[in-house]
Amino acid sequence: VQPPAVRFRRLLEPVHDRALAFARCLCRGSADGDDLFQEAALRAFARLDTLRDEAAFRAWLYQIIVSVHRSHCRRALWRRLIPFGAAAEAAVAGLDRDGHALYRTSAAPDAGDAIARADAALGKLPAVQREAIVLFEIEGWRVEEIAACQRVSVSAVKSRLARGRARLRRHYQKLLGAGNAPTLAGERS
Amino acid sequence: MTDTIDRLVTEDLAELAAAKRHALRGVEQTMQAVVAARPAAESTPPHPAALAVLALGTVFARRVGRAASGAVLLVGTLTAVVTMTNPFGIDPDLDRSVWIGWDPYALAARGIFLAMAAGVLARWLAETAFEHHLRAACARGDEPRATGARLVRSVDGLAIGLGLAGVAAFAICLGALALVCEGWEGIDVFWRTPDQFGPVARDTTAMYADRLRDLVIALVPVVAMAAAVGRACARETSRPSRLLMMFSRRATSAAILIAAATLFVAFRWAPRGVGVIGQPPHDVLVWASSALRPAVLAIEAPAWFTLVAGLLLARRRAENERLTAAR
Repeated sequence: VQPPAVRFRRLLEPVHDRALAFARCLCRGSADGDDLFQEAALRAFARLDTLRDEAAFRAWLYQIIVSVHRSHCRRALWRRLIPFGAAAEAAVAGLDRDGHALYRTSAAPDAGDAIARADAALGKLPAVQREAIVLFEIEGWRVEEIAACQRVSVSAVKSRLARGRARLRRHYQKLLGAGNAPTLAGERS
Repeated sequence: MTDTIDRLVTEDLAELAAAKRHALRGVEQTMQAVVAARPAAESTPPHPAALAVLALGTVFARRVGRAASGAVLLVGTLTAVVTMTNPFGIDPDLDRSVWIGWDPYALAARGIFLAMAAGVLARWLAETAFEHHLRAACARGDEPRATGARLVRSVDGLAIGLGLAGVAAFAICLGALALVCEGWEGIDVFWRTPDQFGPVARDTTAMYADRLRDLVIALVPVVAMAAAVGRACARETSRPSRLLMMFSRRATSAAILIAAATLFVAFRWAPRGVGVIGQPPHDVLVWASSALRPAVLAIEAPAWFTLVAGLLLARRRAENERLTAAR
């Protein structure tokens, strides 16, 4: 029988980079994404005994990342409502630890920077829609896989994807309407 | 325009994904942090049998506690209903101060306190009984996990049936009492006859006639349904039991909405004007018998039943998952 750390490493290695990138996509700042992934990895390691099918490790790890992400979102909400201690000043100022604006700020991103624009647009989405959009659009998961990960029905995922996409579209329309019309890659040249 | 925006969103997301994959830290770094953050005590995995027995004991105690709380609430509700019929023929004008504290709010507080006390006491007794049974099983050479699982199964139906019957019946009874008595009036308001409320009461037909009929009609099916649900849960492999496990969270949410909407309608459109008795000294407010009252009760009762059933079955499902994981 392999020691837990060896087993965990063996299972984590093939999915590590993608899972870490997924966690980063869920958060605005990379440092927050790394923290989210670290907490998820710690939780996964602690619960490794409950994993029956090693082939399902990726889905299991992503489920934990999603669960930790929801906890972070809830905590962030409370922190904003009742600011305590060190995080209070940053939360009141609307900044995260990296100095980036928190989700749902009204500051418009620079229209010329595609990454900042997409990051800000994703930040406007509710957590469940953001997870679904990232898994579908970026990670390339199937709807059934996302449904299993989020523990909801397939129709619920489809609805989340449609609503999330509509929100993203509205956000971009606002940008275009504000005169900061971004251009498509094909049109850039 | 929409197509252009959609393409732009897709392209931006692709660029974002590429950027987020840049300068990722290695798996080695993650593993170092994970192993370092893990407490030393956790590095020794607990014995699976011990974990299973611990989980079984906790679930058994909780279920016994729920059954006891439900039983207390059910007995309390039945007592309240019987009291409303004034079985001893007490004159309500005898001394009203005796009945202070018999209004729906005081009864609710008393019921909740008694149910919680019964639950705590029953859990304590259940833990002791579980330990006693396991000791006996070990002395006989039986497998403790099998004994524990049998004990948990034996109280499964009771926990659901009694819990559901008690909580739903108690909530429906108090709701009906509060609606009919307008809150602060004591239970003795049910003992009065239309003649005791003066000419206004005589003019309104059936103001106090059949005042318990609606409540009894609502309570009997609720208790019967609770017994049926409890019985289905007791037989895990039966079809009704499997159907109950599919009981959706949405049903509970819908029940909350229906219950709230019905209460809103009841308070908004209740025929209060008819119910006000302005004849001193009986200046009490009552909700007269009307078509609305049984209608409200007929909607409220299944809504409350569904709500309580949803919560209890969700709890049961979580406990079963915990037992499966521990096994």
